[in-house]
Amino acid sequence: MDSTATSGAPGDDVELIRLLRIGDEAAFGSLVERLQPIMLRVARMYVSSRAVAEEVVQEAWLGVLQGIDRFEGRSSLRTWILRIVANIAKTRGQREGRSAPFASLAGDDLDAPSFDADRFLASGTWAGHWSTLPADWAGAPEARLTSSETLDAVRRAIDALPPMQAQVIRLRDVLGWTSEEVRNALDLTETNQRVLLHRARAKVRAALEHEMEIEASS
Amino acid sequence: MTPPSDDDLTCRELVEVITDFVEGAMSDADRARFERHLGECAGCTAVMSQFRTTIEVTGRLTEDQVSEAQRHAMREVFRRWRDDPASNGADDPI
Repeated sequence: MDSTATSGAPGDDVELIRLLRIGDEAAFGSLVERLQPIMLRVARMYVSSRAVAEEVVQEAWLGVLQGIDRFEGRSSLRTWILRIVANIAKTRGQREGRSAPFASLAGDDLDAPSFDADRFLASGTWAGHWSTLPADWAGAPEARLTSSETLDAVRRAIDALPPMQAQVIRLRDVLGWTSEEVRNALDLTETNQRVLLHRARAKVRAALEHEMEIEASS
Repeated sequence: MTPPSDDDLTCRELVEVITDFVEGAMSDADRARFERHLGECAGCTAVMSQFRTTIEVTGRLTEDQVSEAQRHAMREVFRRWRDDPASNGADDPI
């Protein structure tokens, strides 16, 4: 194997790429475990059904295997893989006569405020400042933040987001990808990635706040 | 807290640029304005902490598990490729 071909890839990637190139099934299997769920979610943004998304992901894996010898490591391996999925899914969606314009995937609430207007003073010297102070969660018991009810509420809040907002927060905050990886994988500008992330985090924060209030009053 | 000047951020403005701040996407001047407000405002300090907690709690979620059917199907893709790498004649995916 020509190791220089992956000299730009992060350390973990170099070994994985080497194993994929020699046909190591366990290495492939570990990638499937890590990436299949997010691959299906990304594919599902562009195609009509879960079944079609599964076909797209299958085609993408074949593309990954057939292309791995030519992969140069200019992005991380997982970014490259997600990009292959997105490209195949977009093409498939177009063939299905589906159009998935950015605006519909991103949601129509990108300019919406993160807090209700009545949380701020409407007039006076201190207009635009808090009318009542937000709660300090640092005082909340750790158990409350990590309860299964709280995690379910966060999961529901993410599932309810417009698809591109949901993928961005999953990639960044659930899976720990960097902003550069997410931008490259989903073909987003730096600004778009940040705006989508902000809306997503703001809505999850609001869901958490609601959850904390319920638990505090029960 | 001293009364705000026209140059200062309001709380309503600050909460919309929290992600710009934490992502390092602010000019030096905007960052200084942000930090000046934060230094004087307990409410916005609490909200910054709420955002950090939100990120932490979201980080406790795990992605879905791969179904056995999916795992099996992908293994088949792999084995077909390994046994005959050129099969299927798929185009360059990029």
